[in-house]
Amino acid sequence: MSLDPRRWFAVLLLLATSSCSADRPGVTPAAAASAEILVMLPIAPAHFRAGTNYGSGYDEQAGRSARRRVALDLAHTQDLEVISEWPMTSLGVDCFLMRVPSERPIGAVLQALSRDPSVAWAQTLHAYQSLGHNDPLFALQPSASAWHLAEIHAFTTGRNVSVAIVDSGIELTHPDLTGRVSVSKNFVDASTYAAESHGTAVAGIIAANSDNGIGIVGIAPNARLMALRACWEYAGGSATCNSFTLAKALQFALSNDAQVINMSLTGPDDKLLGLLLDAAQSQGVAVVGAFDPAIADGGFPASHTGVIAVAADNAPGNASTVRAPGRDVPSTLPGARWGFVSGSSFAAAHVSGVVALMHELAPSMAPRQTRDMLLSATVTINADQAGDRPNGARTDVYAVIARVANACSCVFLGNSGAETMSRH
Amino acid sequence: MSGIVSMVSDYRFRGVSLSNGQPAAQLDLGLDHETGLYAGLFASNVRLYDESSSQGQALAYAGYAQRLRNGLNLDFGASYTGFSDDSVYDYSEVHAGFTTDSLDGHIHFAPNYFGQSVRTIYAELNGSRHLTDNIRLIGHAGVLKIVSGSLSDARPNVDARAGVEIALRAIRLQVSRVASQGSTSVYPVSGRQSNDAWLAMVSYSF
Repeated sequence: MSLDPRRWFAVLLLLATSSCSADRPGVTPAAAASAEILVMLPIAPAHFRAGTNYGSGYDEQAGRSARRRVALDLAHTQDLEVISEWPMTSLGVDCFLMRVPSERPIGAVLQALSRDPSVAWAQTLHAYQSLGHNDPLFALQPSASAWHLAEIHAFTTGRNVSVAIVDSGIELTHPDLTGRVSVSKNFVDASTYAAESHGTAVAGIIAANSDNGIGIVGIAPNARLMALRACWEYAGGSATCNSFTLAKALQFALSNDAQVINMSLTGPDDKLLGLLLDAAQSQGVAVVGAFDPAIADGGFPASHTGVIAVAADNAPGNASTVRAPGRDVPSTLPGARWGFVSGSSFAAAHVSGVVALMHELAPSMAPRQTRDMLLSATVTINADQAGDRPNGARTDVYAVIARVANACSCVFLGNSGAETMSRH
Repeated sequence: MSGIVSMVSDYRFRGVSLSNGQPAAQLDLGLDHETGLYAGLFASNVRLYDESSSQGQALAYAGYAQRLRNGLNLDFGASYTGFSDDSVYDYSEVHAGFTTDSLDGHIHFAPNYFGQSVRTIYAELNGSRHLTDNIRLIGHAGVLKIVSGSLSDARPNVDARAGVEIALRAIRLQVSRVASQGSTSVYPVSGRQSNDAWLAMVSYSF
């Protein structure tokens, strides 16, 4: 790992550009996306109310109006503009997106708001980027052979497991995704729902239909996808998201019983998003994130506690990353097409599919247990021992599924570098 | 502090019309403290046995609510209901239950329901489901059982309600169908009211 020339190149690139604030592809600037902030007001715990307004929960009428009044008062005192709002019921806070006039320093505004007793906390709006780029080469799904995908599908296909894809727009009419998307929602206020390449490719890897005579086979071809568009794409296929759009999508996933959440994106640590990921895990939802090879700990959310961080087989990772194919992976693209994609975004999609496979067999497996099983099946491969296989690491997904299905007891030969698995 | 003012076409309380099938104006004020303590006041005009005159009903309640880590809210509290003219029907009640994003359930116990010298238990479940961002379906089911006192062999009263609610900023419009079955003799209302009715409500929250 320490001799990996790509890693040194990334370090040199980091040093060379560290004095500039230029964006690097796949890496997010640490500063706020724009002059917008998020202000969180507490939601009192929900309770019995007299009166005949039946219905409950986050829609709770009078409380929401009262909080909006408080937000407008705060905005007026601080000379801000309230743009949008979304209750994060899993955290007990109502999140208000506010615009700061350009002449005011954001830091001072955040400090002033944080001192107000009616504010739970205020934070910057961060920007997030997808990890991956289209790079078509040749026509084989790496997971098909490496993971014995067809044999796995005899045990499980992720039937009825709900996977939330928090990403750019998925092409709902793609022929290889027919019947797979159970709900689609757009959380990007600035644009309407659109079919975009990153989200569509992630969806295809996770759940493209099998045995339909066309295209590819998803890792979990019977999973139910929630297409949550929280990111938008510019020309070139790289997608951008922000703290607010991601938070709304995460809250929606939690309120609508997602069992797995796929986040193939990277960016800075974020308090609101971190708390939502914690809430997800305490509700038993597994969160899969893509490891950013340009950041030492993989970036956020990959490095957040409990998140299943995934790196591509031949790319940098660390001792806590699960491995999956991430180079020249065939997948679905908008326009009813297929193409090849590369990057840890797509390695993460593979693992979200695997978690869905595991959940069909063991629906109540806790996220921690899922993560531990996948990490325990990850072995480092040394180039000089493996012939045509280059340096890297592999996760033996077949063994994980077999173990969950109690169909075999498998032995891993770990750090000795040998790759043979014996099955009894 | 939050509040809702409403106009309802018929004030149905647990399936029984307390406004004798006629419209009523209602106010709902609530106070929530960050510790979880809450209090509130609900007021409405009602028409009890004597159909021609209207009087006021006020229901004051207070309690404590707690949100658990998994998003479930639990609460318990007590309420007191008073009538402006016929205070003989005044009664107190305690409640406990849970609330989530889309569902809530509570149990209520009254030692002297509507001043009728009977002990009652009322259990209810309410739910809602969004069709779009602004339109949702609402549903309710409840059962009242008299557990001791002169009417304790009366059939339990089951009530249900289903409807659609449309939200336009701070204004809500709701149309629903209410149905009930069972003995209503514990309520100080006219015996000639219908078991089932269509209801319309418009409310404004502040």
